Amino acid sequence: MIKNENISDEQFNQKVEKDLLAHLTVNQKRNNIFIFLLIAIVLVGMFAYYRQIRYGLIVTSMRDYTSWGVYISNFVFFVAISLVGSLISSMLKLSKATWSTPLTRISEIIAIAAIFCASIIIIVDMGRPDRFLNVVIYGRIQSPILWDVMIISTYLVISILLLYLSLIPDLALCRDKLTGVSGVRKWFYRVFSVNWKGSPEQYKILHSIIAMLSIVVLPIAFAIHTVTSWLFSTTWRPGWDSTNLGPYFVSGALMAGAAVIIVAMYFIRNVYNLKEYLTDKVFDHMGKLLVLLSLIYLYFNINEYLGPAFKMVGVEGEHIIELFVGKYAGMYWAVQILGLILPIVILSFAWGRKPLPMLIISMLALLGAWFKRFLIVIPSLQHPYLPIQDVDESYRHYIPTWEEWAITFASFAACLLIITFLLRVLPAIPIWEMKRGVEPKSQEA
Amino acid sequence: MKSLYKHILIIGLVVIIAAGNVFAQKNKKKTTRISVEYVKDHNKTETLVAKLRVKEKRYISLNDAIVKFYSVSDTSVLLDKIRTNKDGEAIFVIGDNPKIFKDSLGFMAFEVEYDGSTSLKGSNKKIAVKQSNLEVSFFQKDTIKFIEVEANEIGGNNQTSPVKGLKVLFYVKGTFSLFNFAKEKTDNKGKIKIEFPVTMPGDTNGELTIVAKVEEDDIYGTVESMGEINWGIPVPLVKEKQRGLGDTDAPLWMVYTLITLLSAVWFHYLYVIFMIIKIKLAKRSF
Repeated sequence: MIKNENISDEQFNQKVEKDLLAHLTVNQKRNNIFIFLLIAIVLVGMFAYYRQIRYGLIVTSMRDYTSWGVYISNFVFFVAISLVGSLISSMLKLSKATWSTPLTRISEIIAIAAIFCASIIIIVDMGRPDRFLNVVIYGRIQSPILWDVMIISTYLVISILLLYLSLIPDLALCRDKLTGVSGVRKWFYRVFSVNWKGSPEQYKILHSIIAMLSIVVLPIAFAIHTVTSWLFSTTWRPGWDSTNLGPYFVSGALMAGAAVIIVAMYFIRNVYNLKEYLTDKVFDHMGKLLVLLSLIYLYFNINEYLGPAFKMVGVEGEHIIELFVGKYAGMYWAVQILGLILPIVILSFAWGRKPLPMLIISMLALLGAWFKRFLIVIPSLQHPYLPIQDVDESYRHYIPTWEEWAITFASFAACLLIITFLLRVLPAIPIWEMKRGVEPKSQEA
Repeated sequence: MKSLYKHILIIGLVVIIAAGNVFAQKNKKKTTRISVEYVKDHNKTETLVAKLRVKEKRYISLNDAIVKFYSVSDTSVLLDKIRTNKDGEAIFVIGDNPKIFKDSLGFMAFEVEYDGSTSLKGSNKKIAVKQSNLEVSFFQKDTIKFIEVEANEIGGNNQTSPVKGLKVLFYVKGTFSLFNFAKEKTDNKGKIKIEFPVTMPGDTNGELTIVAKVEEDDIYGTVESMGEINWGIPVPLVKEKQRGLGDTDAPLWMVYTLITLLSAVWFHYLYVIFMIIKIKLAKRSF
């Protein structure tokens, strides 16, 4: 936070406005190069998808048994990190953790980008995307797939509403204060600031609906990842046939969400020069939060594997052996140690909660989170309860093709592209919430 | 910003057009492969089944392609042109077609041909078959139950004669597929006698369908015959289990719960939109 507490509210607010609007008018060449790179990756992914549409899913490594590959792992990953929006905007806000205020906007933007990419990647996974609407038209309401479609669209809308509501006063500020921006952007700020004047009545309405949505988003956020876990737990496969899967997925998602916000805030604070707002103190708090969430996730991890590993029954046992000492052992232990244990250990120390170590640790946690989803999806599919027989050898293994990797990387690039684009036109930190004494007194009562 | 988006658009278009050109230049003709099989089913319907495939990474079925069927003697006579289905199969029903030539030994020779296209090479295949009949019957001697199969070939003058040493496979027809339980060769009289598999479960009345089949024989092709008898073990109908959420109709409690919960949430969204409009209409009061 800004150190000089002796300056007047007016001076303070002027500085906040100046600092937090600065990145919206500066033309950053580095940023442009980054955008070009992301677009190039997206285009390669689009070409790979064109090949998938033209030749069918045969261009992927998915076959009869491993029918869900990296696309579904990636989908679960995106759904997981989308939980960051409710973690910061709802859970921390409702618990009056004011240190998290500068993170709300970033978390909401990440949530929207992630849930949008999750929706896209699930369509990419379809062999016949032109039939997607049939899920809605002919969907069976008792199918977890339809529940997922319903909950994802519901979460996407509430994420957009949460982002938009907290943006209204800032959009009005952009409308009034930003000069030298394009006509389209001026139009955008004018229309979407909905005639915001900062009147007590407007503040009252805004606060009440934000508070309402902060509560409504909680069950939806829990539901989105629980329902995603039900896609697995209602399918009879070793590793998925578990009542633990819902909370296991939610805790993993909260951990991944905390990690992604740390990575985002490191880059945003450096690229947009926001060190006075995204302070070391905020990193410290986020570090502690990540430790807590990692410990919860560790608990569910132990819960998830201990039972089957103790019993070692049939295919469940084979699945465990494959993960612990078999062909996925390297990935499994790397995920558990580098992506889970290491963050707990390093972030438990104050020196580990400095920005750079936290960036590295959070990157490891995020990588671990992605590969963890890979380990949840693929090895289970390779161990069906009915034995695999009389099939081509390729059906027994799964190594993603270049098309699958290209589309996966394109989805990451698209997610980053959405975030980067939104941060170019929207203040990265909620200015009106950072200011002092702006809101009319009647509202505070 | 504007020029940035222009650049992005131009680069995007160039990449898409270039990708299209790469495919346009790839015009080498692909290899096709055609196979043909003579099939006589249990209704005594005779067909020629041509299967057309094209080589991609591996051979895959080629649908919607025209396959020509010829009767071959000294000259070839076109019998029909048939389009392949989604499995790449074109099926020609032989029937009593007067154009089909049969030689003095009873052999009928056919040729199937695919002409190819601008992107696919043509292919053809010949086959010569002799017509035959399989008859399945059942009899009981003392307490032992038997299945008997008699195989006869049809000569050039439509005279039948027993087929010796013909390999016949025996199946029980299941709900989804055939279950093989025996394999024998015909004797000098063209007959096979095997014991009935009395331990085999039948339907509720013990009814079983026994299928005798000659499969892809060099001379007779695929010939099938079947017979039904109630010598199986009767299996009572299993009462259909309630499959809970996996059933065809969703339980009403679920429909109502989901609709209620979702309506509650979406009502909040509508309320928020209404309040945004109120923000827009609010008057400045300070």
